[in-house]
Amino acid sequence: MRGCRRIRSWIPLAVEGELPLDRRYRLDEHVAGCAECRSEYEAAVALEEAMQRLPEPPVERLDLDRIAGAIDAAIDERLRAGAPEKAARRPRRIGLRAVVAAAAVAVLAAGALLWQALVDDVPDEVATSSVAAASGDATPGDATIDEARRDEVRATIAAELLAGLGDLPAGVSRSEVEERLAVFDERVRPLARGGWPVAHIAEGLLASEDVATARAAARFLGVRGDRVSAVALRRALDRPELARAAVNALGDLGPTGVSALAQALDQPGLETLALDALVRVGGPAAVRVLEAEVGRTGARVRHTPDPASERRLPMLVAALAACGPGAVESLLRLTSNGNLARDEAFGAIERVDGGADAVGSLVGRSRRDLSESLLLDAVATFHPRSALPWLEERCHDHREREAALACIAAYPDPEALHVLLRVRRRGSSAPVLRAARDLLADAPGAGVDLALRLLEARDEEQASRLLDFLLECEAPGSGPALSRLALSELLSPDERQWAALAVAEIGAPEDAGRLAQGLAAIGSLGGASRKAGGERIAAACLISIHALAGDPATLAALGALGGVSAERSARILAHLDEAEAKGTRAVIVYKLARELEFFYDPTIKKEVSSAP
Amino acid sequence: MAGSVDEKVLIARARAGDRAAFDHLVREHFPRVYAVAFRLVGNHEDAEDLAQECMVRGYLSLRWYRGSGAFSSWLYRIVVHLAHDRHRSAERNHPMAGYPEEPVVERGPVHELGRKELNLALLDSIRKLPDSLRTALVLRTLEGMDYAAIADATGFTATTIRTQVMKARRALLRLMQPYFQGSTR
Repeated sequence: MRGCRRIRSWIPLAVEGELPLDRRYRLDEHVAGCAECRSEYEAAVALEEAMQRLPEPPVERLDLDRIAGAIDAAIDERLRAGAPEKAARRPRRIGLRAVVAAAAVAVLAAGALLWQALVDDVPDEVATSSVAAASGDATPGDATIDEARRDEVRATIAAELLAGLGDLPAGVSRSEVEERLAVFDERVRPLARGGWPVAHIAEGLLASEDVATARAAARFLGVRGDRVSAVALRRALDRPELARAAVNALGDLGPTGVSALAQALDQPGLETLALDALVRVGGPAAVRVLEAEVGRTGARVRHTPDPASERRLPMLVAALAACGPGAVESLLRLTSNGNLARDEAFGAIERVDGGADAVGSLVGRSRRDLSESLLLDAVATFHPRSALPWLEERCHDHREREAALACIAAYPDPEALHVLLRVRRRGSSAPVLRAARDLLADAPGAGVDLALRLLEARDEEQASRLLDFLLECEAPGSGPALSRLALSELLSPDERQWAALAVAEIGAPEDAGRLAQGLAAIGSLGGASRKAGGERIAAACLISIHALAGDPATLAALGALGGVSAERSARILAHLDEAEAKGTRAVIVYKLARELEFFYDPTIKKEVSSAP
Repeated sequence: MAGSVDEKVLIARARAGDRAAFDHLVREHFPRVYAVAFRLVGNHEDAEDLAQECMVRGYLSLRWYRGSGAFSSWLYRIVVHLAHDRHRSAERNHPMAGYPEEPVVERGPVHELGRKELNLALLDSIRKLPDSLRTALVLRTLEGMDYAAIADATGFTATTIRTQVMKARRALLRLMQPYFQGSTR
C-alpha cells in the first residue's frame, strides 16, 4: 500500500502521543486499510501499554533516615581511606610526555587554588568559603565558623521574622505577606549580602521552641522557600502546634510543597486544610497527588468499605475537580481503573470550568491509561466540539461507526449536524440519517443554525447538500431550516421550491409564519425573479402556509403581498383546497404560479399597476 | 538547566564540607535516583545499593560538578554508569544469568498471558538491550523524562537519545514479537 514507510515512521511518535493531530488522522486512516501497518501499530501500542503496566519502583519501601545515615557512614569511611584525593584526581592521558605531565601538574596546582572561584553560578561568598577558611576569615560557608556569630545571625533573623510576620493572623493573603517581607528583606539585606543563607536559617528556625517564631519562619518559607524548604516544612508537620502553619506554608510554596501536603492529608485534623492548600496550588502536581489519594480511597471504599473512607472520598473528588481542567484526565483515569464510579467522575467533571474542552483535548491522542469506551462516553456526555473531528474519523471505521454516530447524535450543536452531512456524503446512509433525526429531535435549533451559517458564508454547495440531507432525513425538527433555505436566493429555484413544499410535510405552524414573511422578499429578486422562478417558489410557500396554518394565514400572506384582488385570492384558496384534496401538488404549483405571475413578473406587474 | 539558588547554595556548602547540607540533597534526590536505578537493575536491593553508592560518589566528586546542568541529571549520570558497570560485571561473571535465551513462559497473545508473566518477559527483554538503548528507553518510557533531561543524564545529544529510544522500541518489539502477534488494542 502507498505510503507505508512514511506511516510506519510515525508510529513511535504516535505511541508517545506526540504525533500532530492531522498526521494522527492519516495514520488511523491508513492502518484501517493496511493490515501490515495495522499489525505493526497494534504491536507497538501493546508493547507501550505493557511497559506502562510494569510495576512502579517501590519507593515507599525506602527508609530515608536509615539510608541517609548509611550514606553518611560510607562517606566517613571513604574519607578515612583517603577517597577525596582519589576522587579528585583528573583522568590521566596515556602517552603524555614527561615534560607535558610536569607542566600539567604545575597548571593543576595553580588551578586548584582557583577552582572554587570558577564554580559556575554559585554566590562568591559561598563558593570561596574554603579559601576564606584557609585565610582565617569567618564566613557563612566556613566549617569552622564562630558559633557565637552564627547564633547571633540566627537570633537576628528570628527577631526580624517575628517582628515582620508574627502578628499576621492566619488566612491573610499572600500579597499581604509579600508586603511585610519587603520590609523584612530590607532589614536582613546586610546579612544576605554577607552570604548568610536566610532561607536556610529560616528552615532551622522551624525547630525553634518558640512557636510564634517557628510559625513566622513557616510563613516566610511559604513565600520565599524552595524544594529544600518543603522538606523542612514536611518535618514541621510532626509538631502539632506548628502543623497548620506548615500546611498553609506548603500551600503558598506551590508545586514544590505538594508531596508534603500529600503527607498532611493523612494526618488527623489536617485533612481539610491540606485539601484547601492543594486546591490553592492546583496544576499538575496537585492533581497527581489528589488522583493518587482518590485512587487509594476509592479502592478502599470498593474492597473494604468503612465510614471514614466513604466520607472522605467525595471531599477528595471535589478537591480534585476544583483543581481545574487538568483534573479531568485524572477523573476519567480513576474511573477507567475502577477506583471511582462513573457517575461520580462525570458529576465532578461537570463542575470543572472548561471540563468539556478538557475532555475534548484527550481524544485523538494515544491514551494508554483511558479506556476508549469511557472516553466515548465522556464525549457523548460533555459534547466537546473539539472532539467532533475525532468522532468523524471513527464514523469511517465500520467497527466504531455505530458508537461514534450515537455520540454525535447527542451533540446539541450545528457543527455535529455538519459532521453527519459530511459522513453521509462518504457513503453511510441509514445509521447516519437516524443519527441526524435523533440530533434534530433533541436540538431542533441545530438545523436552522447550520443553515444560517452556510447561507451567511454563501457556501452554495454545502447549503445545497444540507437541503438534500434534511429532505432525506425527514426529521420533524427541520422545518425552520427548510424555510430558511426556501427563502434564500443562494439555492436554485428548483431546490427552493422543494424546500418550501417540504415545510408542509415536516414543518410546524410557526414555520408557516416564517414563509409568509418571506413571500414579499422572494419578489425582491426584481427583474431576475421570473427567471429565478420566484412565482414557483412563492406558490410552494403558499401551499405550505395553507397546509400548516389554514385559510386565514394564507389570506394574510397574500394581503401582505399587496395588489391581490379578492377574486384572485378566492381562486388561489380554491386551488389550495384542491391540492390538499387531490394531492396533486405539482399541478397546483403550476396553477398558483400563474396566479402569482402578476406580482413576480415585473412586466405584468406594471400592467396591473397601470390598470384603473 | 541549573538548579534553584538554594540548591546551589546547598551544593556549595556540601562541597565545603557541610554534611547537613548534603543530607538535604540526599533526601531530596534519593527517591528519583533510586527509581532510575530500579528501572535499570530490576530489583529493590540492588537499586538501593546503587543509589547509595551514587550518593556517596556524588559527595566525594562534588568538586567535579560544575553547575551547568541540573544536579539531578548529574546524579543520574553517575547512577547510569554504576548500573552499566554492574551489568557488565554480571555478564562477565555469569554470562547467561538472568537472561534465558527463550522466555520461560509459553508464548501466545498478550491477553492469554498472565500480567506477571508478561512483565517478567518484558523486563527480561529490556535487560537484553544494549546498555545505551536500555538506558534511553528506561529513562524516557518508564521514568517519563524529557529528551533534554536524558541527554543531560547520559552525555548524548537529545537527537541521539531520540534515535536510541526508537531503536530500543524496535529491538524490544522484535524480542517481544511472539507475545504481541495477534494482539489487538
